[in-house]
Amino acid sequence: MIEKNRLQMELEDLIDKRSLQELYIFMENHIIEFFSTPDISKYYKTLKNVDYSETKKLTPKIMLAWMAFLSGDHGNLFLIIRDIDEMALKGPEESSLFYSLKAMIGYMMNPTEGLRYAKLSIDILSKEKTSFYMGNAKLTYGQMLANTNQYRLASEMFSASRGIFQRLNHHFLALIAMINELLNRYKLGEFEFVVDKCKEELFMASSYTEEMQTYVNAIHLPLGMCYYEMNRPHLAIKHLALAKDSIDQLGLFHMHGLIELYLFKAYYVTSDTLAMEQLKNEMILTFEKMNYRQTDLLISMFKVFTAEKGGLHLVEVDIEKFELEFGKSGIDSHSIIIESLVYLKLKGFSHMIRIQDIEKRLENLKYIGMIPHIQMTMLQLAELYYLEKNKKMAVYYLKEAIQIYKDYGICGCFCALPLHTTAILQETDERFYSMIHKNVKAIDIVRVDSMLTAREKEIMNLIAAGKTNEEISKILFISIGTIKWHTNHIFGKLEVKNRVQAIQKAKKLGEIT
Amino acid sequence: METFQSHYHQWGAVLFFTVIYGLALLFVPFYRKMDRKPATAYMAFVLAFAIEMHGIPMSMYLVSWIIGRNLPEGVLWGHTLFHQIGYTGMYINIILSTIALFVIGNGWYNIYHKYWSLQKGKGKVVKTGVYRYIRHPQYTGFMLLTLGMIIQWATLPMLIMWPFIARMYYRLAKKEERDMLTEFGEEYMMYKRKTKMFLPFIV
Repeated sequence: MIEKNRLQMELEDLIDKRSLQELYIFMENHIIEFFSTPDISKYYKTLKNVDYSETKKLTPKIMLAWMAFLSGDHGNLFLIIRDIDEMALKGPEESSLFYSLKAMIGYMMNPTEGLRYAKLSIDILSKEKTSFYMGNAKLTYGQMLANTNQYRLASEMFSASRGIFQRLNHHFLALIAMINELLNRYKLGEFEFVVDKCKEELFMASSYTEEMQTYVNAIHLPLGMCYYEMNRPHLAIKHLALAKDSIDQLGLFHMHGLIELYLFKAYYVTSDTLAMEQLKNEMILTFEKMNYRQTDLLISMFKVFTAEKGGLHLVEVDIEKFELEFGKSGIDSHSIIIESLVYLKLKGFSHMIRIQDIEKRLENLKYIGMIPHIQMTMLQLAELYYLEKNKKMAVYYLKEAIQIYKDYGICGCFCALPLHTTAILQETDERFYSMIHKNVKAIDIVRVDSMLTAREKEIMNLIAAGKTNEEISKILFISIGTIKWHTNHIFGKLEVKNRVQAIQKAKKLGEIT
Repeated sequence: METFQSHYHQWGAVLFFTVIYGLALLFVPFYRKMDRKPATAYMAFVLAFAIEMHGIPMSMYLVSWIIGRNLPEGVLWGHTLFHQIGYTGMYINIILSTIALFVIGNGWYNIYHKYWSLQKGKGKVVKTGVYRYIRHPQYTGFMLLTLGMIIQWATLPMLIMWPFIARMYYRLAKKEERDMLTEFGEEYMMYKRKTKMFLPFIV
């Protein structure tokens, strides 16, 4: 607290005195103090209206541009950037700071451009030095790698960045690097590692000052996400809520979206419709007017998932939004779009996305190694194949999804959709099913298109009532041969060998009551 | 104990061993030209083994001529270290080649069914059978086969060639892993982290 006030007071002092040269020198000398706290937007507000045209020094300008970027003031950011002459950069440190910012901005237009600049900002510094600049450059490069789906390289880069910041005792920056590292390790399926690391960090943080506690709580985000995937929704909610408080307080704008998504999913699993509504309304209140793409999509998704039974036609606006986006980017669309469209397809409200699209997506996901999405996609495919009455493929994909559980220990997605496939899931792996069934939402089987014909159902009902073939033939006025012919068909369709099994199976599938 | 005469100059036996060991190569899916180099080296090794075991013991003649005295049985001719371990080497070879043939066959079976049968026009990462533990079972197989031959009947060319063959297969395996990484990306990376190259849980 004292530290922060001192910095801000000195800034105000210098601005009041109108000794701009001194201000620039002061900024340059205290660069690390500016960036190693979550209060950057406060400093930005203080410094925003200072006239920088007089100075030949570039570092204060670059610092201001960074602050504008981190505070989300993109308009001013581009004005400052335009004023910086790349040829006039002095020394590797200044250049690195500039190129990493260029990377962040470049990424918005063109991801490869971002990667190139980020790489440059590392290469320009000498390798041996562990400086604030190197930490920053690696943090930036990690971000670029993560954005281009290279999760493993990204997490290594973040880890290196965290090491540098830790050695320099910049706790806040180390934490940012760490959260980024853990989010990438989460994607790679290293859930145990993430959970252990979060717990370790929280344990160590218990000795920190209160001010630091606030931002350390952001570490509950990866932890909550892991618990969600591990099918522990209540634990997930507890940790995600803590993380959300921290992120709200710190105003870490770019962390929004992710946290709400997982909190919402966890509420969905626990069937807490009230909390879902609340979260949706809160999101609408805070973000709807911003027209920020990611939060926009999220709001639409929340609307689709909270729509009452049979009320999906009320969210046509959102359905059209998803379809439009998918039409543009296809399977490369944001996962929120795909997830929502599959949900809508399963409910029969949108047929835009096809099974082949999702299979192609699965291949891509496997290539980049996004484990939680891989399992989700497999389950989606199982559901879709099941609805197309291709049981073989449905079972195939269910098995694949269960294999992910066996390899990585996650099964959260099995509870994130109302499942049609619960019956075959139970058949495929009884043990697995009994483990997750507590949270599974099965769809009440009201089959419009049942497996058995009306006549077969009639006979099946009589069989279930304990009648022999002879008795059935008398009741229905048909020959015993015909009945045998029918029962053979029934057994074939139900894939059973005898009457007892047939009765059980038919009951389970809802063919008879 | 076998006599000198009974063991050598049996060209039928030479042919027999060459063909038998050569058959193992049929179970390796060739899909690039360069893959044949280690296979050729392997065949040369097999010939060195078969010819010197049942044809002419050239190593013995050569070395004896250079050092000017006869070599004892088991050193560069005859059953390896015969006076020390008797026929143990032969039994070890039988065990090793059985394991090798199983590993090569199993590897072929899994690759053939999962990678080449192309379910949807594209292969996938094979993780079943022996591939659950090692990534290059067939090369393990060839190294075991050749090692077994050395343990049974070591000759000079075999001792010289073996390190080269091992190195060739190692490099081939490394190259294939790079290709797989470009083809399958992170999926292969994760598979790689969970398995070993040649020997389960070891290397």
